[in-house]
Amino acid sequence: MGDRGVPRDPHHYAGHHDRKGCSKRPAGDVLHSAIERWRHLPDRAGSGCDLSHATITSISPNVFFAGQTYSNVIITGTNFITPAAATTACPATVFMPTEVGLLPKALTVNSSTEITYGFQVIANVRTGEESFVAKNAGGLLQTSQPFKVDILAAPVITWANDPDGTSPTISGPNATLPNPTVVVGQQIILTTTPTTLATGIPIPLSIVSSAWKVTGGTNIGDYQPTSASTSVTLMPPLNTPGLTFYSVYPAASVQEAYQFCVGPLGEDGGSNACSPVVTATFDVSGFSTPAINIGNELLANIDDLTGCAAASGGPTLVYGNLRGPAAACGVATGTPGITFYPVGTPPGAGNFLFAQVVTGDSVVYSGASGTSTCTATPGLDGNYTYQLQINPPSTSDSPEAPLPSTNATVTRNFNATMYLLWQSTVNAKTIPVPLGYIPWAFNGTAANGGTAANPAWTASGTGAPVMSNGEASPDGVIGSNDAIPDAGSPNSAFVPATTISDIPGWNGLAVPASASCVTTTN
Amino acid sequence: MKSINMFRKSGRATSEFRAWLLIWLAFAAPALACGQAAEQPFTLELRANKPIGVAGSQVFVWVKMTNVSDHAVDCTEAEMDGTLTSYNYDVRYEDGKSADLVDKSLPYSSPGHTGKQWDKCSLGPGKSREIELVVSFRYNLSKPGKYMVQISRRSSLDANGLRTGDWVKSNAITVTVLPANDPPTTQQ
Repeated sequence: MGDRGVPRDPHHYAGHHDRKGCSKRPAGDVLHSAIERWRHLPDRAGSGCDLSHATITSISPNVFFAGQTYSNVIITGTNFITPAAATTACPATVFMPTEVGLLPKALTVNSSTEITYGFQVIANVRTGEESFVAKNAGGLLQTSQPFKVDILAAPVITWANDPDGTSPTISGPNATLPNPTVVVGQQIILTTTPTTLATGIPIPLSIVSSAWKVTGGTNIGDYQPTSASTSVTLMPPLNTPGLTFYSVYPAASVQEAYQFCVGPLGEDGGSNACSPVVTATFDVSGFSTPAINIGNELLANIDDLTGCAAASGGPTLVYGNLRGPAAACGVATGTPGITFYPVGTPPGAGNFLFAQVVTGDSVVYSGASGTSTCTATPGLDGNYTYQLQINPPSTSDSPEAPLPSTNATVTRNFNATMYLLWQSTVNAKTIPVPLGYIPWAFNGTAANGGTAANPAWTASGTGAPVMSNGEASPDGVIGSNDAIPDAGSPNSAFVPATTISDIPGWNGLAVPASASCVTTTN
Repeated sequence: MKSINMFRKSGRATSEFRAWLLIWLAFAAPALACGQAAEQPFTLELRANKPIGVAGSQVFVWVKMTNVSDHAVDCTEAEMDGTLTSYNYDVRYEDGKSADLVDKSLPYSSPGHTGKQWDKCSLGPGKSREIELVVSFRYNLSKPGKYMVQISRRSSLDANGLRTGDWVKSNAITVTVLPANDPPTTQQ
């Protein structure tokens, strides 16, 4: 701002004559007496012009922000000369800043006690003081004492965790990175300056509030899924100087607007005022056409699995076609009932992840003695991530149920939603974001046409995506139904994730059906 | 002085000894530390995600399987009733008595059991894999107290896919379960 506090007076009192026509007098040692005599002189030449010096008693508002234009600043004082009262010898009062940080726009002397002033504060001015003076004709002796106000720099938004580690400024005309790009799920930490005001400003103020407004994109505060429980943390409070969040889905322009307000500090405090709103803009890159392709979709089968000390094995209702040991005994081989393939071109380095939520699972056993219905409690299927896989080329599910020979029929109805997520590895501070999901179901029944001693099981039923558009389930023949995708093309049952509610959440693991069986006897 | 001179003269032998010592430290020592024979193809290292749990909540532990052999080992999992049956579980109360099973009818002689096979998994030499196990679906951990948890896994599969071979045991860890109305104030 230059030489703050030094009046920019183009005149010099020693260069003027007094009203008695005395010749130029040196300033120095006679200044005080000259001023006093001048102020007590009567009206000049009967013009109605009072040569008493102007005074400023207040300026409202008295807090101004860089880059802003103010058109209605009220200056209150005394001895202002209005244009109507002005004469050639006694022109209207001039009101002006003493520094170069302000660009005057308009000046209206409303009365001898009030001026309306307009000006613009240049954009890159730093926080400090500004002084104004009111000048009547005659020079320094008719100029008011400088009246100081606060000039505050505009807030600046900084990207505190950019991948390069440079913490660039991303708002305002001097932004070093005006329009950065992040990938979906990448943590964005924004900080702002100032967070406190300098103590050197003439009118003591403090920051009394901060406010963010985020527009565009789908944004959350956090998402840290675990097997135990998972929920979405919505956006954090927007009334702090900093902001940390994640954008979940691709968006061309996610704007973060920030403003702070100041308030008086102590008896000498200035006005309440708010900074201009500054804005940062991120582009969020992501998948353009993610999908889950489906494979297999076999019919239900009766597979005779090998038992061991831990499990008896024997006939098992399987969605898929397996041979070898029962699940408790070893590793079976064969074809899983349904296979899920992640599809899509990622926006950068990262991993596909699956998570499956069981929405319903029941097994009903019917026999001569009665019926047992075992019902699972919905929840996460097994683990997060599904089968603890990271970036698998595919994953699968083959729900099965052992078939106790004392039953005539065993029916399993399994409903689940398989979510496809992706997590960037751009840095350690990323969250998984959903790409979409497929609800699917397996409904199979095993019927015992033999006896308890010599069972003869047959299976019916199949599994498939649950079509939201009401199309019929596929019949197990690949390519025979729209629910089954052609190779390399998205499945029509795939639901792209687009909202916060599409982010998978659970309160815990699905509790197995065996934990809750209700038996009715015939 | 004589022995020193011998080492000075046989620098190559000393280097070989050091190399073998490093190899032993890298592979044999961890196995022995877990009470496992050096010839077992993998090690199991158990840790508790949260040493303190709350009664009634699901209790998880993590097991890190490390292939210390020179060939790939199977790491495929299978699941019955939410428990990974690829492992044998030994859960005991503080007094050493075995904790109560959730399902007294094990091994799976009653209705209602469901399971699945996980995708195939093979762990290369020197590679590790850490997975999460739910202990509370197999054992009733609703009673507040301290539980000692140890798991084991068969060292190999036979030609038919049945788990066979010696049991490879993990270290034992202690999980503390607090009453439901006295949850931990800090997460550990």
